[in-house]
Order: sequence, then C-alpha cells, then structure tokens
Amino acid sequence: MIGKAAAGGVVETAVILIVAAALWFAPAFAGDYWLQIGFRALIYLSLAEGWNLMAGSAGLVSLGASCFVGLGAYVVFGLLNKLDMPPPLALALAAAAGGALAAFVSPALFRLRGLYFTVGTLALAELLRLTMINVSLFGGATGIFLAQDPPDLPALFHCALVVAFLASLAITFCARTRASVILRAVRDDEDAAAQMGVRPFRVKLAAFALASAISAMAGGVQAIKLGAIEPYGIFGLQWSIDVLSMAIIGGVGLRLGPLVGVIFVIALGELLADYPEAHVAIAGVILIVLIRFAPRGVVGLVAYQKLASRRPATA
Amino acid sequence: MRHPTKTCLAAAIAAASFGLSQAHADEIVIGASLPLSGPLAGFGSFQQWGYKRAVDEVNKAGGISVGGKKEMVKLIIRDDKTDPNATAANTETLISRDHVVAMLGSCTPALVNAGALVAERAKKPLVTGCDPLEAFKSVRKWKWVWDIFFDEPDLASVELKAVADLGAKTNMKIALWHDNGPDGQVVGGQIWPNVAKQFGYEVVQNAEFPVDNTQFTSIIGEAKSKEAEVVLVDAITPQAVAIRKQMAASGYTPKVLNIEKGAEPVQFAEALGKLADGVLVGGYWDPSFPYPGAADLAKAFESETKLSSSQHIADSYAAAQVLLDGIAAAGSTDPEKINAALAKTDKTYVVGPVKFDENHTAKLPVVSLQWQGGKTVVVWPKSAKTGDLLFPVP
Repeated sequence: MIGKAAAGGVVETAVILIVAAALWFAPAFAGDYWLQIGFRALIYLSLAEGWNLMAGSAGLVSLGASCFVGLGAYVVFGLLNKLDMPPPLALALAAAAGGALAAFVSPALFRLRGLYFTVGTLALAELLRLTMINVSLFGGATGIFLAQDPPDLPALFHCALVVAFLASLAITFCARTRASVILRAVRDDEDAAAQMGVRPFRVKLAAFALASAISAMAGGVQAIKLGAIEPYGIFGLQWSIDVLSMAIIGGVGLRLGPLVGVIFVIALGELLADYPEAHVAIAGVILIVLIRFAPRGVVGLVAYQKLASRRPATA
Repeated sequence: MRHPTKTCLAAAIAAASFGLSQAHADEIVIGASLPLSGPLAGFGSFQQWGYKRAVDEVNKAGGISVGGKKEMVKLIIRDDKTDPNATAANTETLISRDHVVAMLGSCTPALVNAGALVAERAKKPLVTGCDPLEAFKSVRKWKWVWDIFFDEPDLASVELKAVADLGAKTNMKIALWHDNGPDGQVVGGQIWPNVAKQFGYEVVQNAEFPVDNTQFTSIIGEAKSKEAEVVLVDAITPQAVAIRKQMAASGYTPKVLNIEKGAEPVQFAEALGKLADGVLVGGYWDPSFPYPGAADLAKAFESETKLSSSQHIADSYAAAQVLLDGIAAAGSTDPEKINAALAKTDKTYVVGPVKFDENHTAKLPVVSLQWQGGKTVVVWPKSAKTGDLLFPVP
C-alpha cells in the first residue's frame, strides 16, 4: 500500500515540477491581470495546502491562519527595513519564525482537542493582532511601510510560485509517505495511535509547524506586494475564513481539494466583482448550495460521481 | 438530484460571467474600490453616491472631450469589504483588467493607502478624499496620488478654539480619550495634549484604548473623579455611541463633549437620540457653506436616497469632479498628462477652493458642528454659523 503511494508520490512530484516550471515562464506571455490573479491564487494555494494538511490529515482544524500570515508579514518587513536583508533570506527567516511560534505555543494548544483547539488558534491570532496594535515598536495600529519599492509583478509572481511549489512538495511528501499513515492515525484516534507507538504530540507539532511556516512565508510575500501592512488587515480574520472556505469547497483532506477550492473561490470573486452591491449575497447563496449538495467539496463530488458511474459496470 | 445541482451551479457561474465588464473603445474608464460592506460600509455608500453623481453629471453634459472627440465616462466600482488586502487587489484588477485611466480613492488611511500604493507603482493617477492629510503625507512622497481632505491639527484644535471664542466657561480641566488607530494616535496622542496646554487647560487624563474596545466605564470613572469638565474623544462610531451611553449610565456629563470621527455620521445621532444633543464634532462641510452647489448636493442626496446627507457626499463628489476636470484639461487619457493636469487644479468646488501643494494635498477648512435635535448645526466660526452653541451639554 505504502509502496504504491510512494510511486504515486514520484508521479505527483514530477507533475508539480513540470507545472511549476511551465508557470515560471507565465510572465513572458500572460498579461498583468492574469499575473495578478495567478499571484493571488498561488498565495491562497500555499495557505490552503497547509490548512488542508493540518485539518484534513492531522485533524487540527485551525482558525489561526491570519496569525501566521501576519507574523510572516511583520518579520519580513522588519528584516527588510532594519537590516536591508535580501527578500529570499527574509522569507526563509519568516518561515522559521512561523515554525518557531507554532512550536512555542503547541504545548498549550495541543492540550486542547477538537473545537477547543480551533478556538485556541483563534485566540492566538487575536492575541498577536492586539499585541501589534498596542505595541508602538511594531507601528501600532498605523502599521509599517516598506522602505524600499517592492519588486515588479513578474518577480512577485515568481516569489509566490516558489512558495506554492515548496508548499506543494512538502504536502506531497506528507501525503505520499509513511507520514500520511501516521497523520491519519492521530487524526482518527489520538489515544489509539499512542497505544500503537505513535507520538501524537510530535506528529501534530510537525504538521502544525510546517503549515505555520508555509503561512508565514506566504504572508511575507503578500506583505512585500502590498508595500504597507497594518494589524487590522494583515492579521484579519478574513484570511482564516478564506482559507477555510477554500479548503472546504475544494474538499477537506483531498489532495486536489485546496487547488480546486482556490480556483473556485477566486473565479467566483472575479465573476461577481462587477456587482458590488450584490456579490456578497450571490457568493453566499452559491456557497450554501455547493456545501449543501457537495459536503465533501467539489473534488469529493466529482470522485463520488465517477464511482457511481462505474458501479453498474462492476456489479 | 445531482444533475439539477450541477446545472444550477453552472447557470449561476455562467450568469455571473455575463457581467464581465468590457470597456468600449470610446469610453473613458475610471474606477474606485470602496468599502460597500464591512464596518465602513456607511462611509462607502456615501462615497459611491458622490462619485456616481459627478460622473452622471459629466455624461449628461455630453462627456469629456478627448483628442477632439466627446467620450462618455464609465465608472467601475468594486467592494473592498473594508479590507486593505481587498482594496489592493481591487485596485490591481481595475488597472490590469478594466484598464482604467485613473482612479478614485477609498476611505480611511488604511484603505486609501492600500489602493494608493498600487496606483503609485502602476503610475495611474488617483484622487481621494476621506484620508486625513497628515496620515496621507506620512506614507511617502506621492507622485500619482492626490488627497483633498482636512488636516488633523486643524480639526484637533477647532473645538477648543470654538469654546474659547464663544466664551463657554469651564474649570479648565480636560480629559482626552482616543483610540490607538492611525489618526487616533496623531490627534489624541500628539496634537490634543499640546493644543490643550496652549489654551490653558490642565490635562487631567489622557487615555488610549483599542479601536474596537467596548468597555469604557473605568476611563469614564477616572475623568469623573478628576472633575474634568471638558472631554475630547477620538473614536469610531460604534465606540462613540458606547462611550456616550456609558457616560450617561455613569451619571457623568461634562460641560463640553467633543467626539471626533465617530460623532460625524447621522447613525451616531440615530443611535443616541437626545443623548447626542450637545456633542461637538469637527466638520469640513455643511450644505450651508457658500460654495457652488453645496445646498443642491445635499437636497439631491436626500431626495434620491431619503437619507440624511453626510459630509462624505461632498468630499467624494469633489474628488470625482477634480479627477474629471483633470481628464478634461489633459484632453487625453494618457495617465501622465492627466496627472500633470491634476497638479494644476485651482478651482472652487463644492467643498471650497482646491489647489494641491507640493505634498499632493488640498486642505479643507474646518468648522465646529454640534448635534442639536438630531441634526448638526455649525456653531463656529461665527461667519459660517447656522445655530448657537448649546452649552453646557444637557
């Protein structure tokens, strides 16, 4: 079983490599609009991949994505403004900061399970947001402006592509190796997994730290693009809600779920953008209908229909 | 059951896709990202009305002459949901998909800055109101963005000037309460303490609170115990309403109560009823101002929407007029020519004279407004007043 999964992992890695290589040349032929959309999709894909690893594979449903997006943004701005550090190094350190914060808070957060963990991550995000608002060292509610001009759009697109590529590779590793079995064992029954010799704390920590590092790096890239950050926007709950809804719409725990969810939500947002008075209501109705009739997400619905269509032939 | 679901989804997406805007070659396309939902939706609706009215008027007059040919103006508005990330994304899309030649701004420093930075990088002119000038200037040296609004030091000092000039007697003990938002920190944290000292007040309390704070009883209790007869507050509307209600519940009524920012929209008076009476708020526009079209603008808004007018219809209407005049003066849709024409703006609009300085800002004169019977009256300066100061606060 694992051997088959590992073979699938090689194919998946090859596909990710080919797609990333093809997308690298997108700025040469795609217009600014498509690069902007692509940038947004890649940032959200990175975040949704990390969230899907935590919730879908490890059973850690988080509402704290905004916490790590914001942390990454502030770390990157601090390093660029104060130390004039090269952006790739600043992004790598932002990822390390995200992972380190996850490791620091995990002893407390992992004492909470299920919905309590979810509320705990929400509280963590709020704690960090309020800290940034109230500490003038971090710019207070005014926030921080990037001292240097941000790179041009193709360079930002490449940055987002690298982050999404690293995120996808990491998730593929987790989904196609023995780690996948261990994660699911912890997700399905933490106590039973512990009885079998799995160390749930370490497994959950690995998933949490990896997802947090990815989120922080994505937040750093987003911040560079914005050129200005303030705590209400960059630590906004909207990040967590967007990522959660993308993963749920695509299909929680399904490998293609985040990708499909990201494409669906961004496409819907763009299609409805010309109806500013009604878009929130229309998007809400569409999402309610989708969740009602496709509770396992778009990918789950398609997979179920494929299975259903094969049934008569195999009977 | 599954097939109807798929059909519904496909139909919904297809229906939405028909909405993809296609600019015609003979149209001048401008755009704006506004907070039409979220906490600042109240401001966004006023701005949307102001922007649309200015564009409609130009189109009714036959459009703008570009290259010797009259062209209609198309205004594309997107909702930023009061989220700076969405403002930036909307502005990028307006530029890259809708190919706007110039833009109008959102509201509050955080939202305006997010869009303005995108416009600056893309070298597209953007004219905005609704962004206090000090906050605007602190971001960077702007080249493509223009701001028409009030200056924080003017607004911060107007009420104490009014109280002194109108001879309202107090024990000269003052309490300053302000949120820790960008303008709250500037006005409450820096300007008010200095201005209060200049006017001879003893600052007995200077309290800062988070923008979304809801509990103010301890701050109120301290001011009451220190017998402050003048209270200056800088907070957004929900907090301003909570503060006034909690003051009443605590039995604390200072002789002078000024609430900046939050006491400005009509929703403040609607939420408080008689408790709003006597509250002072700095203003930069009133329909009674002697500028062309001021009274008509408020009447048009109230007859069209059946709502009370707001200052924001004026600054947004003026910002749009300034931009449209800039395009007309440039006689071109070339962003550089429009930007150069904007720099030469020197005309009296509905908000007063507009002429940009080297920081790309045009300062609006401020007055002291007071809520009286559910409406604001101008109580100072005497040259502009439409009513007498209600003193002390009832």
